[in-house]
Amino acid sequence: MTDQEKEMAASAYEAFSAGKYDESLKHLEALQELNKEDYKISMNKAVVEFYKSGQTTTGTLKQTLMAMKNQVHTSAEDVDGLDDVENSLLYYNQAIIHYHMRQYSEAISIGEKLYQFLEPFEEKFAQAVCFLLVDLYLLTFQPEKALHLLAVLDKLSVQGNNKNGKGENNSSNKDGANQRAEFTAMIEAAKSKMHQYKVRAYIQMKSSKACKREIKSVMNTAGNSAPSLFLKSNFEYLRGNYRKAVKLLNSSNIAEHPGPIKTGECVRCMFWNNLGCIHFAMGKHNLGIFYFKKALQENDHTCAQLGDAKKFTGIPMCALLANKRYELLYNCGIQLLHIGRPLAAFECLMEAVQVYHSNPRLWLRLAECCISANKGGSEQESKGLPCKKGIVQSIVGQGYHRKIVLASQSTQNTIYRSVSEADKFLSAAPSSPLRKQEVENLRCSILACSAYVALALGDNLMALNHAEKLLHQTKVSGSLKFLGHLYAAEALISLDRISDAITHLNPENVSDVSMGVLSSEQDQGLSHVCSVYAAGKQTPLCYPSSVTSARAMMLFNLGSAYCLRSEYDKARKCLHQAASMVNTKEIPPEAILLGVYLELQNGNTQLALQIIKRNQLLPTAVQRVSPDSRKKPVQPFQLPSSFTQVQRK
Amino acid sequence: MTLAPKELSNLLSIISEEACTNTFESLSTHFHHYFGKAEHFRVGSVLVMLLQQPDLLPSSPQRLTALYLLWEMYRTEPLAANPFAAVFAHLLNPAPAGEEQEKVLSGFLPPITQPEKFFLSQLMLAPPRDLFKKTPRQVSCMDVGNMPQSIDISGLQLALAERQSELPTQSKASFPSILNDPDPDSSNSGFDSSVANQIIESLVTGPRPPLESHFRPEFIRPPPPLHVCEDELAWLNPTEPDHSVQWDRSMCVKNSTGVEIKRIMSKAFKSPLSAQQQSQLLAELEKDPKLVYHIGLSPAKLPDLVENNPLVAIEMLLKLMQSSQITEYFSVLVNMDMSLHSMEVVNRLTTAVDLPPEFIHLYISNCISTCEQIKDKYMQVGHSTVTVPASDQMLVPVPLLNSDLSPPEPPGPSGLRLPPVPDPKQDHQRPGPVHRGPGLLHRVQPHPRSRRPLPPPQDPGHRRKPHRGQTRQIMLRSETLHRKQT
Repeated sequence: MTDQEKEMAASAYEAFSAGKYDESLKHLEALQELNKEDYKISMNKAVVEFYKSGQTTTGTLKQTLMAMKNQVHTSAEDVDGLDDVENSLLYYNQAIIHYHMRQYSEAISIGEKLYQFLEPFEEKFAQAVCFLLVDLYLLTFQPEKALHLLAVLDKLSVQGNNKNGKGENNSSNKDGANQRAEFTAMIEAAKSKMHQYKVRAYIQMKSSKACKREIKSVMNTAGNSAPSLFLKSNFEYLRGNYRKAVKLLNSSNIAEHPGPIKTGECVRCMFWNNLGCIHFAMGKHNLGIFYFKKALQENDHTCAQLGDAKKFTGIPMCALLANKRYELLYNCGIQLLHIGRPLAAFECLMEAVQVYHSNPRLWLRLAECCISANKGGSEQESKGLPCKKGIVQSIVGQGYHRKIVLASQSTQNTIYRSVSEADKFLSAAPSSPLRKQEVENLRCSILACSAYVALALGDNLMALNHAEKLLHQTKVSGSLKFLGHLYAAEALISLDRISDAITHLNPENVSDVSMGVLSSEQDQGLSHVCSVYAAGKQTPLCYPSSVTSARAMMLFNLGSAYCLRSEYDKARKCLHQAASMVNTKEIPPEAILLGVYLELQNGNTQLALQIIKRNQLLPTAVQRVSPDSRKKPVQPFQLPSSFTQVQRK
Repeated sequence: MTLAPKELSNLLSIISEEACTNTFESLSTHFHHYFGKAEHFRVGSVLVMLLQQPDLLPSSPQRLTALYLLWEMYRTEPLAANPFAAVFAHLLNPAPAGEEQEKVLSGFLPPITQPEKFFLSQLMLAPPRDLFKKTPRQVSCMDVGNMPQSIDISGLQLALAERQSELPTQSKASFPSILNDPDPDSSNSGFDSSVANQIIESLVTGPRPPLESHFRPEFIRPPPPLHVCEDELAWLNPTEPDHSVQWDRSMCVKNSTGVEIKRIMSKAFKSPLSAQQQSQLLAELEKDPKLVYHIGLSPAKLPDLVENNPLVAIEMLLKLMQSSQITEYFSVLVNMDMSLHSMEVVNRLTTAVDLPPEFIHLYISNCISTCEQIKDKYMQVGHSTVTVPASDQMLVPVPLLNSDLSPPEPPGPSGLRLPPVPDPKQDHQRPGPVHRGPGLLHRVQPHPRSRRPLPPPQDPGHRRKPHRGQTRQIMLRSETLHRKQT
């Protein structure tokens, strides 16, 4: 290396740092005349050109770097680790581009390779590598790895300070001392950034204590910036302090944000989205959907500004990350599902699942959409009992077969997934990873859904299998246990094992119908969400809200089971007991039909017709147990009062 | 299972009131003209449904036709194999006259008249041929007073019961789902065949006609509630990332000293360096602490360096202490063949830095097993010479081999007095390999058992376990060495 070359390189860098890209390019070209071997000259040229274009030629740069990498590797045959240190910047730049193109796993694999050789790098570069990796880990929901790296960064900065002290003692190396000073300043700037990263990691890990501590540091170092306010709002949201969360969001001045083209982040869209999350958690689903739609609009607006992001040209590199469509669609879908619009939810989630295809909970949600759509269909069918002349249509209709099959597939996918990989943390992008307990809850829900779907499809063995598995889970919630018994019983009935079914239908099996499972997080208390969330949520229409009504439901089914064994007296007793346990309005249509059935079985057609027309169980229907009563002629269209009279006799 | 409207109208024309003037035989011909074997069951189902609905099939001749067709469709097969045999059995089943009224609805099959019953029982037996030469209308007007009223159908009933027992309970419990509910206000309007035909059509045609559905106790099957979980939605935080493409400052800065140092290093892996080379290398390392990462010392190459230039290896390892790969260097060091040089390197390391306890643990056990394997007595002496002070050094900061964590007892008159340990700092400053000679070992030799009472044997299978502090720990080691020597 001649001194002339060194000088030229230095001036090229100087020009580049000053933003004089043309000048820098001239120097580099001259340098290339002198030295044809060093590929780094061409790389720096490419970098300068990229900056000159306003960082809009991402695609071109990517290709250039790729070509260089291939060239380097063919020229240096033995990859001894040494060459990688030499070529670190090439790799780093590649990782940066992968990161901006959302090719996170590629970016991470490069970043981790660089991390192995962290020590030889100068501190500034080492730090850049670490920050990139931390960001990537957080984007891919690997908070533990991110925290580990942040600890390394902490160590790095301590070292830097120590060395800085040493440098002052020696003070012979003036250049070095300058560098140290610069480095110290950078560390200071990085400090608040590190706190922010830590908060994000702790939020993902749901450890609230550590999070609280870090939030404080964030607020101390970068008080009123949008990132800190959003983070704090996120924290309060997770703790269930929704008002505070809204207030914090509002206090961030989003109007003054430079906008997505400059920063690659659409803060307005995030703002609406987060408001949506808060209202969802508060159970205000209509407001939730309103905000999510607003966020989507904002996002579409941003995307329109950016143009076609797939070409990777024409827009600044950072803006490539601005599109949050899939996160928003995911949120929208979940919200729509809870609001009772499963079909619309299905559309949203189907689009989201293309990106988050390894999220088991998302698949479960898709299955829930299908179930709920199918359920809605049969509910409509059952609503009007057509009582025209001589025609009573029986209930039960399946409809949407296509959907059910789909539901079945997706739940099965989910099961395989979660069974195979359910250890410790399970990733659930775009939300934070699931903890063990949450995975167990998820598995229970999946099993319940699978059993339900299998029943609907007439796959009784499978249904029984799932239901029994569900009942064998160690931490199954009361409500799902209840469903497990119901589903198991129905499957057993269809398999002609009625006695077994009857044991499942013992009302004593139900002791609790709470939906939320008590989560074991005394140590990491972000548990408020669960309870508040459950409270704000409307329980589905046909779902039992209390132990009594759940027991009543069991009794109704027990009655049906007895009917099948021709034990009509027992069936009547069950029906009677169950009907006395619940409000008349809550008696399900199946129970009314059971009453009809019993009357028909008794030959009391008129009474049966009465029950159908009034759509309620008649007291006499239950009382007419004694065999004598059969002989009493039944008048058509008696009023309820006369029934009570009959009853008294 | 449904009939097409065309098929239905054909069927209805055969069983219409007007057609009842044809003989049974000609009705049969008509029927087979319109319907093939494959349709029989579907047609039969419709006929049964009509029989169940007296308002749709009001006249006796029509019922006779329907019954005849039900029988005729399967006449070539044994009676019990007729899928509609249960209908016959039910209609013929003698019911006490008094309960007739109530029995009406139990199976939704209205009772039949005496002539119908007679006709049906004739069908059950071997029917006389001339019976079919009559018309349904004729049969319906027959005076059956002097005919045998009931026939024995117990055989048929038995066969039917047998067949039914094979069916699942659930299907046996079903009713047809069509229920009569005449409107009392319009009951006088009488039978209108065109209206009836319309209703029949709506009952049996189209997809999923009511005819096909049945009514049985249905289970309440609440769908599972939506999965409840916390923190599901994606919250978005602005992060203001600033990762950007960077300029490579290593462009054109390769210097000549680097090349020279690399040359020396490649030699250092192969043979001992000259004193001058060594000092040049160490000086460069001192100048640039990051140089050590650039000179090609990968963990895999460490053993070569240790064997050929232990002093250089020590300095390099000390420089590498901050490396993320230091554990890999250590594990190479532990696993490499035991030699005086490697021991020396470890020994020097222990004096200079805190090593991870598991490393020391591994290393000492390696040492001991190597010692045990060595045949040559002199070599053993040499090895143990290094091992003892090394293990001593290592045990002072971490009482790792000691399962008992009670505070160490100061070495006093009750314990074994170990040879004075050379001052680590002094040791570190002294260049060259550590040589203490065999004399050191003689001072360790006094057998511990002769000096102090034995602790009660705790684990007979195990070698006597030291249970108190570092003194005895070391004692164990020296005892081991001693045992090997004598």
